[in-house]
Amino acid sequence: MRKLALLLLLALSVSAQSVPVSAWPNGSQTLNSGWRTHPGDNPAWAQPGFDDSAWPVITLDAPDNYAGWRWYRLRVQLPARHSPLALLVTGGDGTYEVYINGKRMPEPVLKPPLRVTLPRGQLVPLPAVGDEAEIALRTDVPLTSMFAADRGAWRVQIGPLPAIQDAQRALLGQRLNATLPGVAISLLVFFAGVPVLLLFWWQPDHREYLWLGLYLVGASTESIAFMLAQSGFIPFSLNWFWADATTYPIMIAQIEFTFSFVGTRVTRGWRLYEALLLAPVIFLEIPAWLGFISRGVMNLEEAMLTIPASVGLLVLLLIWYRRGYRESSWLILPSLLPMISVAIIELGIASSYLGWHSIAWIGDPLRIGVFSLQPYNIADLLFLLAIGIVMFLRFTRVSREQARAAAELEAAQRVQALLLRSAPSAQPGLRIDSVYRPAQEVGGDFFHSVQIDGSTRVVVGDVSGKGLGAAMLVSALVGALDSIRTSAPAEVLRVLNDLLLSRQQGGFATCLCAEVAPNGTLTLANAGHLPPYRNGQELALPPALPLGMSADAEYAETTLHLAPHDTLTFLSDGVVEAQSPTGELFGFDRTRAISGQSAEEIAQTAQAFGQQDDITVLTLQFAPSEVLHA
Amino acid sequence: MQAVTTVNERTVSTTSGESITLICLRGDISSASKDVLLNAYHRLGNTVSRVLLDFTAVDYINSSGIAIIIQMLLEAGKAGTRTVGIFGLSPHFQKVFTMVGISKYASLHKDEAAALAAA
Repeated sequence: MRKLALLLLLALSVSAQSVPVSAWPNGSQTLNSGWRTHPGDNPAWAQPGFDDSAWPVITLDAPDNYAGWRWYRLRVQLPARHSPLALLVTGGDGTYEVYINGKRMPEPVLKPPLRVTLPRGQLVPLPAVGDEAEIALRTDVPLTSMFAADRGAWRVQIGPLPAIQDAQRALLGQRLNATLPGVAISLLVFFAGVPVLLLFWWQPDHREYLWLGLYLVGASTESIAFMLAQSGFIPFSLNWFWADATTYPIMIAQIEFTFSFVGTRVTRGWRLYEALLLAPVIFLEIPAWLGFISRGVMNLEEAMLTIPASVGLLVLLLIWYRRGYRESSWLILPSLLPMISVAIIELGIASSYLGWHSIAWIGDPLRIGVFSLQPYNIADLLFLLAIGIVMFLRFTRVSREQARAAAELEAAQRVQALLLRSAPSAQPGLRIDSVYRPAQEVGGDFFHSVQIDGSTRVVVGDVSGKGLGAAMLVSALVGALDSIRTSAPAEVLRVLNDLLLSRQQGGFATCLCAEVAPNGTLTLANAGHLPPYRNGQELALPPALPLGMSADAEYAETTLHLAPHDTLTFLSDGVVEAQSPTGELFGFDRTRAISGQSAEEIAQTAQAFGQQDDITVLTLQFAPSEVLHA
Repeated sequence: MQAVTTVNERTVSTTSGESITLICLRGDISSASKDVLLNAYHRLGNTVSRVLLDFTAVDYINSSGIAIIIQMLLEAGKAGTRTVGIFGLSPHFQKVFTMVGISKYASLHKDEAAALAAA
């Protein structure tokens, strides 16, 4: 019966002007053959009785790859007696209108290109007509949506209203089955991104969480927009301006994540590439939407722009791994998955074009019952699993380290507070003011003052490293200073140098030692520390190696005489190397400019500029008159 | 976050035809750079008698990084068979290098041309 109807239909479509519809195989009948078509737009073409015999006859569901205005007409002979009928038209919503015997149906309507969808089934109830109906489709396919699947193909079915409603539901079911599993996986990726962003809030020093979170959220919304647009659930423009456009920021997030993960700064070359990735939205997407660039050229440029990131990051991970960054190997598999997915899709498409039928199945969706999954859906799922494992391992390692560092910090802070708690000691006529601002980590700044035989010995220094190791080194040095009874600065430095060289744990420190005699004679010796400032001018001291570097190091003494009210300012490099958010150093010039201010003001200025390390400022004012007045 | 330290070596000739090995450093120099720097230095053959350290592409050097440089220079000084020059430092780090006594073990120059001219 079905074959007979089809044969009859084919024969009549060629030889006659109208297509008879006398039977409803499977409840409805396809009406894809026998249509006459003409490009352009003329309202008269909707009228019944219009002579379209000069128009070529076509099959409606054959892709014709066109864009713009076009009309299709078909004359249908209906049974003399029939129940209410309906059409099921499959076409892009917003790209066509339906006319029955010259009368425009209220739905569907033409819409602006931004609101047009890819093909989906639309039910059009037929008004009461006699035994003949002239169906006309007035279509306007935007240039931008013709690239989608089916390339402008249309399909029409006719039948009793309940049967067409069933057919519409079946079509909807097929679209949902093909879309929902992929959307569900993407939602899983999206909701995995949210806790990753929360991890960044928990461990803000670890920017890899921020970038991975943004990547997961961005990539999942991109996939969802793509899948919903491809199946006609949302306007195709959302695929164009969201899914296509977010490809590039997502790649930037992937680059930033990879560099953050291994803990290195993004190099200049990659920064330039990232800047380049921001350009396509303006220079590719919009011109292509407006028709200035063909979709083929756009796709090619998309591939050329994104392939270097995929391949380059993988190569970079391997290089880092060979250089000893073991954790970079964890990312190799997750980074490969999106590439493999793209390769499978491309190979599948290529095999169909090149006739490689034996491997043409490679790009086919995986069928699970009525549902289907695309290769990129499976790659997304595997990527999520792999990256989930990687981030779990990273998070537990970082948490362990943080707990250990917190305990270490607390212990080190206790040691340092104990060592530096005493107020500077000075002879009468010498006023010492000191400020110590530790950085977030325990640093290695220290200062010490003691009166020996009527003179005051002041020592300022900075040991290498941070944390507990630095605190222990400070404790060794300050402990030694308590026991060294000589006030001769060079001798003090020699003893400290020997002490550090004899330590099994090693370590070194810059150190400046000053001795002020009651008559104002100042003797200085320096071991690689910042020279002091006298009344805002830097004192020139002979250079010397830091303590703990060499047994042969020599520390020369410099002697000068302080005038009443002279002020000496001793600093640690936390002042000079304070850094602005842009990376600019506070520097020697600014330090000299503020060196005449109080210790508190100097420390505050450096801290406000951008504290990176411990800040120690010690000022020493020679005021012998205060002794006389006392 | 610190930039990874990378090291490249190349050989250049002075106007007098003598060859000098250039160790070009890139990134940040810190305690994490120790192996990369010392390995690069130790890889130099015994026949290499003149070395220039290029800091042009170095962004930041912390105190531990400076200590590594000093360690390298002390080794060179102890062997007594190799002279080392340094160029490409910012004025800030030129001053720091001078302050910690590096200038006693290596000559400091503004740029490569000045370093080669002085070689």
